[in-house]
Amino acid sequence: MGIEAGMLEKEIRVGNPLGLHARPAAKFVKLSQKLNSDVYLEKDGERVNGKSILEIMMLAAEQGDLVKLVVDGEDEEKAIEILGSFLAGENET
Amino acid sequence: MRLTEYINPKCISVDMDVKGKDEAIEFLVGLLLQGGSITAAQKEEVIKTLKKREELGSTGVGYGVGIPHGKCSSIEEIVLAIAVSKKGVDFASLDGKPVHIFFLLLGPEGSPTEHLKALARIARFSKDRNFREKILKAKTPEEVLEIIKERESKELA
Repeated sequence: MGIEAGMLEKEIRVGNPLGLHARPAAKFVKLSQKLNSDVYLEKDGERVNGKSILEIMMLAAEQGDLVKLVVDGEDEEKAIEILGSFLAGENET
Repeated sequence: MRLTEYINPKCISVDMDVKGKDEAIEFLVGLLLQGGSITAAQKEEVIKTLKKREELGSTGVGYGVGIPHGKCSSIEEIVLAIAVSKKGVDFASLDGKPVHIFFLLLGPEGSPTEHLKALARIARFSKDRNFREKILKAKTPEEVLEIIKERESKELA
């Protein structure tokens, strides 16, 4: 199903004032794991698995950093909406 | 930024023997105290900060690794403690598995960049299976430090 739907990408500036440290990374992973689509995050050309907290922490993304969200799968439109707004959100937790 | 600059071998233990999250955190903070990275007066604040952080969600990130971390106003620069538990500790990890390797990271308020970079590097090393296996086999704190040094120079090469 993922193949016929192609994939979606979106560039987003990280909104969290503390960056994507462990807690927001864990929240992101909780959200992404509920989705059927494959989820990837890219920063400075490095792509990591958006369903792994350790991989997301590896990016050290700070507030204002540009990250690329890539989703691929049957619920990719929902995925880009939910994950995109989480990344851009300024909620500190 | 080099992690190894922040690591004092006196704050490393290769034979942690504790049960559960609270004991694990107290043990790690004990290492910081023993190594002189924090003072006795800071101990309670540090423990409180770390436990509060765990309440928001476990820092047991999977792969048998725990990265408890936090920021304290009385801390001036990043300090680290490392402990290895051969039998593993129930840390309410995200993958439900016991934690064998702990990296405790404590930083000053503000300066999120250094803190994030240090966390990122710990995460990157922790994902490396070869690195984890070496750490688990280390027999002395010096050996642990050596393994991290070696991994870090590979990273920066």
